[in-house]
Amino acid sequence: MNLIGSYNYALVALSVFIAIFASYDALDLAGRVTAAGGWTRAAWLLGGAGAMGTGIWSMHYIGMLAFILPIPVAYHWPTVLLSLFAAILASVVALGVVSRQKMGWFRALAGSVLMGAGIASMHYIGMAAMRLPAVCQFNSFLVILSVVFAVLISFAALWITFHLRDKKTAIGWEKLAGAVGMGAAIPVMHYTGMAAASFTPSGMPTDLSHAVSISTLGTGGIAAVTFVVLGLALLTAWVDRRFATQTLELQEEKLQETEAYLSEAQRLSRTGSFGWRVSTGDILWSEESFRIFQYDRTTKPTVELILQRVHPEDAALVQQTIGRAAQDGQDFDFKHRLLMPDGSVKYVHVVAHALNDLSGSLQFVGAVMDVTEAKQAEEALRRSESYLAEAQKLTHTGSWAWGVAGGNALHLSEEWYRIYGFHPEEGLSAWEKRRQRMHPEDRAKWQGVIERAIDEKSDYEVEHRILLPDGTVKYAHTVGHPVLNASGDVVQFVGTMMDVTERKRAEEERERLRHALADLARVNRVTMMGELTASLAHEVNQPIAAAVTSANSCIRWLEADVPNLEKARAAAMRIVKDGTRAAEIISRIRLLFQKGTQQLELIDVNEVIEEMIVLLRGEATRHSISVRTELAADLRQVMGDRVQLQQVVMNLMTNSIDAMKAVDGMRELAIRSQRGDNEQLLVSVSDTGVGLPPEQVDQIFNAFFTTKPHGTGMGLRICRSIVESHGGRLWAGDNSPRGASFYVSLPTRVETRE
Amino acid sequence: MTSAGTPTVFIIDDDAAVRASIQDLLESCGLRSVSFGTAEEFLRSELKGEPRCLVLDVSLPGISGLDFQRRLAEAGFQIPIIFVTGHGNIPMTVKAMKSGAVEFLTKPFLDRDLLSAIRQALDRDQATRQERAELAELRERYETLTAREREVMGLVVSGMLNKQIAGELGNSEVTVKIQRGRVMKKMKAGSLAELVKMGGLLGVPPGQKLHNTNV
Repeated sequence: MNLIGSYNYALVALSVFIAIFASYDALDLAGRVTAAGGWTRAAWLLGGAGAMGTGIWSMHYIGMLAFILPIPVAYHWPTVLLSLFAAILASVVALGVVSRQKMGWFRALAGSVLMGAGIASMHYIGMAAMRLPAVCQFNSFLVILSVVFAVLISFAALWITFHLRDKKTAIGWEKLAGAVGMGAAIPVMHYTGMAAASFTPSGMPTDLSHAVSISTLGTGGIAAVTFVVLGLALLTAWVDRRFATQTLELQEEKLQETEAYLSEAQRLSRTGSFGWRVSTGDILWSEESFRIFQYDRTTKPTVELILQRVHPEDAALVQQTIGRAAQDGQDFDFKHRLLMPDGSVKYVHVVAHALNDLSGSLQFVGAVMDVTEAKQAEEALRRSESYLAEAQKLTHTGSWAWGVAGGNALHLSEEWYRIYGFHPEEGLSAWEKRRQRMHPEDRAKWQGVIERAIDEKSDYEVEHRILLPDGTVKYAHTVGHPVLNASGDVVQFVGTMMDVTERKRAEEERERLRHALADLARVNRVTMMGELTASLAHEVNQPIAAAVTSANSCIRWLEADVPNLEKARAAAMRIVKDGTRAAEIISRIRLLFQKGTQQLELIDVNEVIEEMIVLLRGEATRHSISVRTELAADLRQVMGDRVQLQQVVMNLMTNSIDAMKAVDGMRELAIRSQRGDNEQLLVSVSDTGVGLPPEQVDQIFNAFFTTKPHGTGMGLRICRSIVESHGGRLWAGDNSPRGASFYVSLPTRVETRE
Repeated sequence: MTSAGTPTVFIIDDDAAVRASIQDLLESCGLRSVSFGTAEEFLRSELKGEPRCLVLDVSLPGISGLDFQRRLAEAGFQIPIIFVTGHGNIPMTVKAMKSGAVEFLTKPFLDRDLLSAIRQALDRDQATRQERAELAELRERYETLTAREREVMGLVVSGMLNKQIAGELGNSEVTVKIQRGRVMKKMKAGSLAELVKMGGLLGVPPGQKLHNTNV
């Protein structure tokens, strides 16, 4: 005969309420366990499980107490404790499961089975603690049903808890609803389990050792303790959450700030960041990344969009690089160009690091840097460097820098190597080797110049020769400038070396030509003087004749019966004058015979003309030619070679005389000097002779062109060379009404030549 | 024209120093001299009547000394010339001497060479002047002869005998003899030889009939 049990419904309600309360606690605590880590997490887990386990157990026990059997029921308290332990264990499992970051199906199922088993264990162990004079029989169908309920309820509880755990608010409606659902479900299992048990009275005495009877007061105590435990847990959780919230808010604020800084830093450094999940193709871009690629922030970045921006010439490279990276899961680092919709080109430097996330899928985190400016600067630098190198090549100028302390080269340009016959690949060590290539005769000079420059901290300039291994000699012109440190010591010299070989050769060539011209001019002068011997002799003879005659008179005056000293002195003075005159003429003639290079001095051209008239007057007279001069008084001086200019005047005058020898009528040689335009002076020599050969005016200045039976044809050619070497011009024209005129223009301000 | 007065030496040289030295030399010897730089200056001067000679530089401006010598001769201007030159040569010297130059001196010359040349020139000038004076006298005498007497004189100096002259003139021998005597007297000729010489000096054409009356 089964004992009919009844329920104390007030206690049933209490048990349900405790279940709801405990559920709410569980939800709340799950959030705390999740938020915590390390030791705190363990403490929260254990404490939470303790509170929750106590709640579940308490509900069960109140439910047990609500079951009223018509027999006295006592409880074996160690077993009761064991059931409590089972409840707590189940809670540990539950909290452990729901506080994980993720909850898979397997984990959820395993958790709910374990938790359900725990709760069921707690219930049936609790039942086993009953000490009553009756036999307890279980309806196996209901027992299984109760265990299934326990597992299902656990599953639901875990699911609800997992999804509601992070609600920040202390009392969320969702949480409350979840707690009510859960709290309502737990008693379902309990009362199903209770329904499975039927009690049959037995005559056997009840083992009442370690058994206690629960009084009404005891029930109230259990409930009160449970509430206190649950309440404390809740309070602790609430306080902790408050702190956590505050910390979180602070952290969030900081995070936002950091994010703002980061964004600003990205903007300033033109560096965007990105994340790329290869499997899904999802790409995350920072603000700056959007800006670099010039896409709207609302666009969803994809590999295709990126490729749209890649410069067509770099498309293959980009595809290949990221393709391989995605395949191999390797970091990548490369540069490429972007072609923007407006046609501009950007240079970007992309670096990415490969990561494998928990789920094992490949992900890249990286940065894309806009290096356009650096690239442009680099290119501008390269361009300017190449221009410089080209300029050095064109001007044969190498640049260098060397440190005074070790005497080592700090910089050597390509052209420097080229001039010394080195290869740029030899590097700065070529600096030492240059000593052997310095011409032995110039080494001492060169060394001295540099030592003095170091001593005096001054610029230096030295011309030296370079002797290449193949015997070639080059001429170099080196200029150096000292670089001082803060304390005024010379630390290095910078400068250039110019290959002046060509200039030097040209100079030598010019010098040789000058000598040749001088020699030729002299030959011409001597020839001319030879032709003029008679006239020149006459010019010398005149003063000599006068002197001899005067000397004779002088003697006569002295030897007279009454010596006339006055007359004798006058005669002697004439002798002095005539002697001087003869000497002057001879020295002028000798000058014209002299051999020598150009000697530049300031010359009065009128003086030159007058000197030549003195020499040629006899010749003119001999051919019944009158000489007329119109010389400007305000003539400037000319920088030139006196003998050569005399030669020009003499040559033109003898030509004029020759041209008039055969003509009848007036024979006049007119020489004029005047100031011309542009700081020039103009000398003209005109005659009334046969005139210029018609249709051959252009040829008269050619070498070997002559109209004279014994002419060499060199005179005018040489005159023109001389005049041109003085920076002037020589040309011819017709004279009116008869004859020819030759004109010489000379600059009165000539740059000083070396 | 007179043979009296101090002899003057003319100097033409374009070189002032040379002119001055020569003048001084002549002065020291008591000779009077006047110098000119060009031939034109000399021609313009008024000093040609006196006994004189010319020291002439060969190279003159405008005209050479040799050309000037020729022009003077062509103009009948007789003056003894001494050439001086700075650069003489043989052809030049020969030409000058042929044209009657007294001397050709090369500068520098010895003073005594110049002085002796000047003396010689002055002597020659003197002689010339005397000859010229005598000729003028003879011309005056010749002017006094009648036409017939000039005819007779011409025939006489050509060496014809009175008889031949008479035959030539168609006169009697006595008439010729009288006319010949008058010629001798008017011409103040002491002998036939003297008359012949006079005829030569005067340039009377010998053996020429002045009036070809008949043949």
